[in-house]
Formats: sequence, structure tokens, C-alpha cells
Amino acid sequence: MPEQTHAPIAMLFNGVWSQYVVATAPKYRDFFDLLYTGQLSAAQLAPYRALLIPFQSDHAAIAAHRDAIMDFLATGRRVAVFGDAGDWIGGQWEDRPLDNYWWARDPLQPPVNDTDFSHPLFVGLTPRQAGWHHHGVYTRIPAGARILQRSRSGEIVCWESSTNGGQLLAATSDPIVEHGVQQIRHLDHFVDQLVWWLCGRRPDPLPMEFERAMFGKAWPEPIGVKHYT
Amino acid sequence: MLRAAVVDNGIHGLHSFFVSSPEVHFRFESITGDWRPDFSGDDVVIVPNGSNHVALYDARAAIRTVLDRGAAVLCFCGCFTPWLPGTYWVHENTRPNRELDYHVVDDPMGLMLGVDPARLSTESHGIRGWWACGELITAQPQSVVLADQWKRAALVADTSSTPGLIIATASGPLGQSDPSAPDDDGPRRLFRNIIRAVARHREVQYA
Repeated sequence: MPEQTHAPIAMLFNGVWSQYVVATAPKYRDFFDLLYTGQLSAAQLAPYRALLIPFQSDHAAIAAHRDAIMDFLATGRRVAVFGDAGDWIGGQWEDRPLDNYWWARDPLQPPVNDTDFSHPLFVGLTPRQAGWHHHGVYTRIPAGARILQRSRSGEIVCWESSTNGGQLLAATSDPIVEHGVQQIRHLDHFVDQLVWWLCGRRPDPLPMEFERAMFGKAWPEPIGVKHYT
Repeated sequence: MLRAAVVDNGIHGLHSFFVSSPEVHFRFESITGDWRPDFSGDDVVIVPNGSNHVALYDARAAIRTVLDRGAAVLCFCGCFTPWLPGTYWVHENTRPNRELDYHVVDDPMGLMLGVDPARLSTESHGIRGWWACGELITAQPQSVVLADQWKRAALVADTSSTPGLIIATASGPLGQSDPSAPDDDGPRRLFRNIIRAVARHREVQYA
């Protein structure tokens, strides 16, 4: 029987186009396998080095699989969650008005203006690369969690917890979705750094491009071309 | 009053983007693990931005049933799987969004009546390319309502692929968060024009 091989990172997939275009872009497809939320299980997660849960996920559906994700963390691996995850990761998320006009209105006052650049996720990034807008804030985080980013009003945007064995990073930003949209054209820096933080390998430092052949395809089809050797 | 089913992907903020009015009543059709949607009571199915195109591909027969009985399907998202008859969406970023300019190609339904294409290119803070991206690939070229300067379709209104009405944007979000807000010359007006077009289409179907 052929051996199945995997990308190092499982990206939880809610069927959203912006998640799809990043995970299937030639630059990133060897780093991400899309794992459809409805298929999530401990067995599905087992082969991966890390789990990435992007913004625009269905957190009510994901919460039903909390045990599988916490068991994955308990093996010492890394999980990054972006967007509005709340109770199921031990935090309290609250909505805030979205400001994605700041760079046109007042570029010196970004919505995320306090970043801990000593954390490996942010080492080497400029403030502009490390923070853009955010979707809400955390008003409660797990005991002992390390705060990595705050909003310009001082509220928590990004934190990391190691209490479950591995490292759980949560942020109210949306790097995968915004990178897919391509309105912000400099997110390669952050996403490349995120990939490296999650799996220890870094994509080629080139701008992301898309492949037209990946669109209009039936589902499910192999995502990436690496599944059987 | 139109009866509209909004496909609900469980993402935050969706319900506040579709507030019912005297013209249209929205219900939310939640995608579940074993989704078997029943749209038989709906005049129109709305697929909002951020939707699940894997689930929609699985439910394509139900979508087709809606269209075959002459009702309408509106997709304001990047339909990267082929669930919508005659049309799918492709992303490409070889041309920066900030250079986008839209123009009306053909608008027999009056969808762009009172809508300034420049408002879809540039939002109120002067940010260009904010609304849609990529392009719609359609088997019905005559259905293109709005395109950019590179001839990429951004809005189609298709009555040829099926007996029903298909209106799709190249991922450009549309909705109704404040039904009492005055008309503008941008997306709010475009959405209201689309709802009127769906209502007219229904009247013709039931005449």
C-alpha cells in the first residue's frame, strides 16, 4: 500500500475562499494540508507538526472537537488560532469596531501598536508587518498566558499559553484570510514567519501567486500533490 | 415580501449583515456536518461573503432545484468550486487591487441604476480595490454586468444557464445591515437593486 505523506501543517478549513487560495498557492501548498472542519478528529491531526485555525472558522463546530485539539497540544505541538475563538481555548473574546482604514486616515496610529518583538513569531518583522487590523479583543486569557500584542487602546490582541503541553497562540487578527484577499500586499512576511514558527521550515521569500488550475475544481480533490509516494 | 435563505457558515457577524425589511425576510440556513438544505419555501438563496464552498458543492443539487423552479440564487462570495451553474470564480493577483476600475458592460435588469461604479472601486476613505477581487468565469458572456479595465467580470446576472436568476459578484460582499438607511450610490443601493430585480423576476415567474 502506498505510504501517505503529509504537509507539516494542518490548516482547518471552513470552505472559505481566502483560506483555500492561500493553502493551494504554489508558495504554500507544500506546507499546508486543508483539513475540513467536519472531518476533524485526533486521527486526522496525528500526522501533523502543527495546527492552524484561520479567521472565518466556525468555532461552534470546532469546539465540539476541543478534546482532540487539546490532546494534540499535549504532545508538545503548536496550535495557532486566529479570529474569534473564545471559551474553547480558555479565553473571552469580545467584538470591537473594525478599523481597516487606519493607514489611509492616520498611518501613525495602527490598531495593533504594542508587539512583543522578542517572541519568535515576531522576531525580524517590522511593526507594519507584525500588525494590521484586528477583529475584536480578548478580555480574559488563561492564567499564566503571555501577552504578545495589544491594541492601541491597550486591550489584548494576541497571547500564547503553554499550560496544555504544547504552545497555543491565539490572536484576533486575520493573516490567512487577508493574505488571500491580497488587499494588504506585505503579509508574506508575517505568514512566512508563522509557517516557520509552526513547523520549523520557511517558504521561499517570494510574493504569493495563485494558480488558475486550482479554481473551478470539484471537491474533494487532492489539495497539494504530495499525498502518495 | 421576498423569502430569502441566507447560507450560514457559522462565521461571526453574519446575522447583523442581513436584517429583514418590508421587502425581504431573511432566514438563516445553517451548514451542519450532514447538510441537506431544504430551500423549497424560499424565493431566493443568498450565499454571503465568507461562505463554505465545499458544503455548497455537496449541496449543488439542492441549489439546482431552486433554479430549475425559477427562483433566484445570489452569490456574494468567491465561488471557487463549481456549484453555481455556468459560473465560477478565480483569484489572481498579478494586477494590484489598488489599480481596479469598474465599468458597466450591460445592465438590462437595472442593477447598477443609481450606483456609481467608482464607489465599488474606491471606498469613502479613498482605499481602492476594497470590494471584490479576482474574476468571475462565466459560460454566458452576455450576462456580464460589471467588469474591470482588464475585462474581468465582477458582476454577472444570468438568466440563460437555468430557468432561474443567478446574480454573482467576484467575491464582493453585499447585504443589508440597516434597512432604514437612505440609499447611497454604492453597495447598499446595489443590494437593494438586486432585491428589486429578484422580486420582478418572481412576479414574471408567477404571472
